[in-house]
Amino acid sequence: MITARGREALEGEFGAVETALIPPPDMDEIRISSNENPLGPGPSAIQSIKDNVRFSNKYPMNSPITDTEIRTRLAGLYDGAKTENIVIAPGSGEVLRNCVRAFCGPNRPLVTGELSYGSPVQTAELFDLPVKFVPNQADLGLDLDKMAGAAIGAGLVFLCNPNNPTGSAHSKRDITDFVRFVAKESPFTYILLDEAYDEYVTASNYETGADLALRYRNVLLGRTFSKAYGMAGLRQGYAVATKETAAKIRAYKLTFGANVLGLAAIAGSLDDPDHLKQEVARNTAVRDYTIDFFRSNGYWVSDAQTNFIFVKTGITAKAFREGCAKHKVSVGRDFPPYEKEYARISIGTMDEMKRATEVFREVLGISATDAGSGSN
Amino acid sequence: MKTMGVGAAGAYAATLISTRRQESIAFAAQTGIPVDEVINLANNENPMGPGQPVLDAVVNSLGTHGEVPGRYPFMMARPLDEAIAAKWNVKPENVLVGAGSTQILVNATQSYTSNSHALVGSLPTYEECFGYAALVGHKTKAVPLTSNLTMDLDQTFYACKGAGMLFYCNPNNPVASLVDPAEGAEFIKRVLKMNKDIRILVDEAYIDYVTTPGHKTMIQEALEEPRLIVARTFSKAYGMAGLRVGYAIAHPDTIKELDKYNMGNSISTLSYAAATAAVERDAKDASFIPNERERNTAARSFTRKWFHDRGYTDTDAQANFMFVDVKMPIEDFQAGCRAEGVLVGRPFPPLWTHCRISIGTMDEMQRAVQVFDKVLSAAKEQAA
Repeated sequence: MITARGREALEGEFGAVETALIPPPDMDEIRISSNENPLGPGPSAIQSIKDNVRFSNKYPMNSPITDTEIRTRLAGLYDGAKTENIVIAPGSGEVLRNCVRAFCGPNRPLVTGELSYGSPVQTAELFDLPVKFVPNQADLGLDLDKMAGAAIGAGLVFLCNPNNPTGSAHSKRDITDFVRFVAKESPFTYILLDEAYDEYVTASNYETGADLALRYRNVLLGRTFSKAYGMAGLRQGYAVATKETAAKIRAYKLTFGANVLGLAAIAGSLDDPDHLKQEVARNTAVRDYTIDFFRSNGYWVSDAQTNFIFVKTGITAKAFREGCAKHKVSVGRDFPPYEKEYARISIGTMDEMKRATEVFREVLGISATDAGSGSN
Repeated sequence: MKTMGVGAAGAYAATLISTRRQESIAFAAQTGIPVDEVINLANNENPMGPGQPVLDAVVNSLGTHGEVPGRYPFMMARPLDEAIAAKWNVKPENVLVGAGSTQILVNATQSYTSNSHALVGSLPTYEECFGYAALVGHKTKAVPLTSNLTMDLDQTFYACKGAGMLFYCNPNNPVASLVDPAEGAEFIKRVLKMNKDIRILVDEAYIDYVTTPGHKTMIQEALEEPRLIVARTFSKAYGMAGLRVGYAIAHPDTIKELDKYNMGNSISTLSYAAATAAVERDAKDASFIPNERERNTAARSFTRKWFHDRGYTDTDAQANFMFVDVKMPIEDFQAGCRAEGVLVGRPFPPLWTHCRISIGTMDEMQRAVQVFDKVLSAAKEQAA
């Protein structure tokens, strides 16, 4: 059942509106609220699921595609990584939860950006663990300098890069400096780099921090198949860390963990890297189109590197959401303290975004002739 | 009193968990034998799977172009809650679905035990709750089984004094034995009366395989008694171990407490589709589980008789596995069988000469006993 508390947990992951309304399946609805990949997994992943469905009766360690085999294949994506460096999880959400549990304590707070992905905070609250919120910079990016200061003596720093809900990404150099500083000044503080949206980044100064996770005992990387790989429904994610650090979060894993058909889908996806490239190119084009729509009408949009954007609509997120919902367009939830003027919009297909921008035009009162003249 | 201290039980749980990991690694290392040729009698899986309608439901749930798995599964949660509620004639508020019943077991251990309120259970029993309690530093009391490997109700009763939760796995894994139905019902009442704060988690993972007359689920009692929780799984008779779905049935207040720790959503769209299809099939045609029970009973009887005919003793197995004294070190028996492509259960200390053997198909069991014969004979010759 989705009880009040379960709903709260879901809200953290998916947004209050989606779960509160739980709309009936509607083919006309444009669901751009949860940063999902509208196309789903690629054909090779789907074929792999179909090929393996007859092994549904086998635990993941007994299925033809074992969790160990997937860990080995994932390790192959990163220079110097071995099977022991990978922890599989039913969604990267488990990695986030287990990092909070393994590394925070009554005197070792969680450090997070004020405007960032909220799931680690919910875990901390559930287990009565303290949280230090660091306000974001003026451009709504994470304030790494202040977070580094707050990290001294902390249990875990949650560093979401690119950040959700802004989509802004920090450079590899900035992340590396941050890691070095914390490792030196507060060696017992762990850093979780959540790179859920890594694949979608196009900024040239961005690069994964996987090498940092493999080199520094206090750094973990969280990755997911829910976004660019199109498998939000299949619940597959993983962590990369040194052997010793991986063991610390592995202890909290749910026994048996990830389902066998999700593992099969990962195997299928890794067989077809071109599909991922196509998805990233597709998303970039639609993201550019959507950002351009807002900017050409004078709206501020975050420098989004993800499959969502954060827009200063000038009206409350609630008003924007309800206005859009009337036209069967579902957009993101409130992100306090920015819910009064900002909205998060996920990137759907080009066709969906063309229809959605027409709805945005109506809800925000942008007349067609105003285009390019700046209305806000 | 014959209970073990916290340290001992914790070490026990940790040992079993690491053994379980080694087992899967060892299996993966067996690259010489293709998966389809290995007879896996190690993990109490249903060798037949969930049935074609369920597999079809999984494939259909992918959507026309495979787009559905791209979406988060939250819209699929309610239909499964409702289907399970309808099956048991309860309300959806009485149901909590988890990523396998393991998640239910963990949530209950987190909710109802602490460093002062112990987890009580048998030694051995299914180790999920003990493993989790050890991880988070909660107190544990493990009560050894009686000499005939059934739950020691008297000692367990005493251990429940001041305890937070009793893990009541019935039939008990790994020993396959069942508490006498009348004695069990009476015992649960007594414990609830003696300790007003205790919770009892009744793990009914294997109930569909029970053939003892008079044995019943505790679901009805759990609806009326908020301190009683029934855990169920789709991993065993329903044949979906790989899909990771289980559930709890309890009083709505208890469900809310358990749900608090059900953090995030770990269940796949495909798993929701499969479990929902399985429960809905039951509503239309209730024969799947009785047929699976009958199939298992025949293969189980065959295997038990094979051991009895050769002078080996076992428990009165009421699950899709049996527990037999192979009269040789279990590690040697396990290794000998593995070399012949038959995987049997891991060691369950302190029962160092007992083996847990999952029940495969009749054909698999007929082939497996030939391997058992070879391994047992070789050990006898060596001893002679």
